[in-house]
Amino acid sequence: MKTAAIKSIKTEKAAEPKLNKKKKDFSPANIVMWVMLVALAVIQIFPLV
Amino acid sequence: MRKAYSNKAVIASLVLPGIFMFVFAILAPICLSIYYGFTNFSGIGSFEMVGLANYKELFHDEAFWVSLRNSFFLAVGFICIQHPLAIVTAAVLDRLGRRAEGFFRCVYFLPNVISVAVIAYLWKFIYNPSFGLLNNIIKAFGGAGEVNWLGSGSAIWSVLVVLIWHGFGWGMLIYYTGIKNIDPTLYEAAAIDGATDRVMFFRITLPQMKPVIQVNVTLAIISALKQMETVYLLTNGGPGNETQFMANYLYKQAFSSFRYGYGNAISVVFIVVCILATQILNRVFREKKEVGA
Repeated sequence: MKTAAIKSIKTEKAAEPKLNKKKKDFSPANIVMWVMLVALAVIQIFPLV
Repeated sequence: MRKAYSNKAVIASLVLPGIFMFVFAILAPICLSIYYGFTNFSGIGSFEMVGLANYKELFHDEAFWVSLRNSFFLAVGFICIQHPLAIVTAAVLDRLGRRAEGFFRCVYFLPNVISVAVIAYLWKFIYNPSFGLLNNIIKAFGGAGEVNWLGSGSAIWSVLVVLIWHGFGWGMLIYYTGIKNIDPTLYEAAAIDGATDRVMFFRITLPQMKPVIQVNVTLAIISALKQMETVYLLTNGGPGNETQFMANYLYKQAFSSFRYGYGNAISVVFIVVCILATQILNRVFREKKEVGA
């Protein structure tokens, strides 16, 4: 009984990180956001390089 | 401790150094400026009182009005281009993870770390019509690449780009710290109610940021009005007076043309314009507060 309970806790813990892992967001809004951030970064850094 | 603070000698010893500094570093120069504004002092030798002659000349001086117009043009550029971009970027940065957030924050602030003199000379090279980076990029894409970026017509826009680029990081950082201070429970409650990111930005972030926006916009307008170093090193007001700004024109008149009295008259008008602009801004934000309340 005890070992079964420990086993179930272990399996739950092992499953946790997978559940918490964020899925990568490829929505158009997110892509636009990243493009804007990178473009701004290039504009800010390019004249200094 | 309470007793010490009620002692007039202690109060005076704490307050007097500040008052002394204010009187000799701020009030006295302003009073002297007002006084010299009524003289024909060249900066060296004797001078005479000329009454309102400097101010009369100032109101008929085309270069002064051009410089004032350019200062307001820059202020509008800051408010309409730099600040909306900075708010949106700060809001987006706030949503990113630790590493990306730190990296972009750093990159955006980088131009602010570099000296104004270096920035001005750097952009002078970038804008150079014969070997400048911009024209070379245009050439690489098949264009003629013979644009005179600091020539007549385009110079004011080129200066605007440099100033917006240089000040962007600073504005963004102030907005970013403002956004970080917003209570996260507001966003959580909105998310539970099914609010989208856009709704949260317009209904939570912007209203909560009103005091920060007020301070930042006021600082931007004052910075636009007292713009001097970058313009002085980049174009020195040229071609002609196309990129002349108030502070630069003041300096030019007082120290290059040796018209110290006239320069002081400009500085007095400059102070009045700054106070008026700040008062108008305060009123605009106060009215909005009352409507929102």
